[in-house]
Amino acid sequence: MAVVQQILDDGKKVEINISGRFDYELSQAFRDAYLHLTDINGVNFHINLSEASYMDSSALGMLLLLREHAKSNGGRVIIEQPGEQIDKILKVANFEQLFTIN
Amino acid sequence: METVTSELNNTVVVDAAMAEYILVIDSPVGGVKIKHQLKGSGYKVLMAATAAKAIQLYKNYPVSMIFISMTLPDTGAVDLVRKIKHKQSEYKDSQIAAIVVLTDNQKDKDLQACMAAGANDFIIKPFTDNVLLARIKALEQFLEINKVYGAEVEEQKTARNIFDAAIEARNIEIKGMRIHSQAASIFCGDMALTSKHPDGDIYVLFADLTGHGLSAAIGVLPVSDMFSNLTQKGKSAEDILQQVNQQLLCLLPTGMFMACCMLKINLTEKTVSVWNAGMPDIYIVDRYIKTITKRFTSTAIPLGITKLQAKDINFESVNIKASNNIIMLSDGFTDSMNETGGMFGIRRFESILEKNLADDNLFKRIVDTFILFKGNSKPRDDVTLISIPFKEILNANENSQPTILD
Repeated sequence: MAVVQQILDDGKKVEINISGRFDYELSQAFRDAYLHLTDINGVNFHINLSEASYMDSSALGMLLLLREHAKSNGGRVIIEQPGEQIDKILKVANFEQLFTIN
Repeated sequence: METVTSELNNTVVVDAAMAEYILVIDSPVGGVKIKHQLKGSGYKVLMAATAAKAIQLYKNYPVSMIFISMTLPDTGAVDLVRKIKHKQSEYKDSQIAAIVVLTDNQKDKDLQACMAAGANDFIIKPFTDNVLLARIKALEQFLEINKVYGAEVEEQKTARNIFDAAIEARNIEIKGMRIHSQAASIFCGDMALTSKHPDGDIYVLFADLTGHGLSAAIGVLPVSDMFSNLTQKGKSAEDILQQVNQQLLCLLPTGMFMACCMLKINLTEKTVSVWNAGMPDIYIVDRYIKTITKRFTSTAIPLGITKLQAKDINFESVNIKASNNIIMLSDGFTDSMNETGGMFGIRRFESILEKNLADDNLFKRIVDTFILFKGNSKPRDDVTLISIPFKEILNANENSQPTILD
């Protein structure tokens, strides 16, 4: 389980890649991936879940925290390429009503 | 061989609340030597040369520390450590004694086995009085932590009982309803609330607060209070959910929420209406034709995340018969893992459910299969399974209807 962050497009887009289990153990690492970033006005966060194997409700919570952070800076959170398992969890929580899911 | 110093300068003041005995398990000669070295430690010394005697003394005296010599004939020290740890599993954390193994051979392979069996520390013979007393001081810190932890656990258990009593006091009895609930720690973030609406409907709220433990359970009291009050006041289900959501928006920090589902059971019209916000599929099963006849999938965002209007809440209704049960579970149930890391899963659950629909002991069968699957694996989330058979409550309702005479 790992969190890898990249800043792209001249600082306009932040991509966070999750691999392995997206669960409580990742809380600190996930927050560290974006909290320290300054000047994120209008910056969108892309969460790539193509390599994530599992997600639980604490991960849903982490996404909500990021969403609040992004919104307060005029940006959005986009969830990308969730696998079948994870897509199911996002659907049960009806998170497509809160996030763009590609 | 170290010579034993006959007089020690310091006597150690032992905390009055700590157990005053050290149990030494060694040959008579070895035991006497250690007893002598322990003079001035402030502890009283008990001696045992056999495992049986040792267990008997441990049971009957308040023992703080147990020193086990690995050169004790007859009983292997490893076995003795295991026996003592087994006995300790019956005690509260604040009563547990520290186990120290005394070895005279640094190459002793059994030393690691003793530690793995649960011994807290070891000392290599021969040791001076100073080494022994210093080690005792270190163990006292361990015992102090255990004591504090033990008291903390007791406090939490008391609080948990208060939570449970508060919910029980507000819930109504639904005849035939079965619940299997297992918290992952002391507090439970899963809850089942039942209430009677003035219009005759039975309202059920089954919820799963994010996480587990105390921070998850915090939402339990205010929600159960609100649900019970508003239902009894005759508020509509939609209004109740809107207000509960509003309360959770204020109470819970971002990232914490409450997945839930609500049922309205109308016994006169023989219908059940369901709203599912973030819980796993809810099943209606038919015991007679032995299949799952309806699934209610989550159609709404869990509560406590965003604003919710009563007008946006849509219950789905189905007719029910005496042969129907409604089955609900929290995701902790299907996410449970066995000892080898395999997940119980929804497919397995549905298969077990369908296989046992003809069985009178349906609920027990599912629970037994689940417990067998889990084995000794550590619980990672709160687990709840609920079954409401409609047979009994429909019958009870029919029997209580006044008969109209032509």
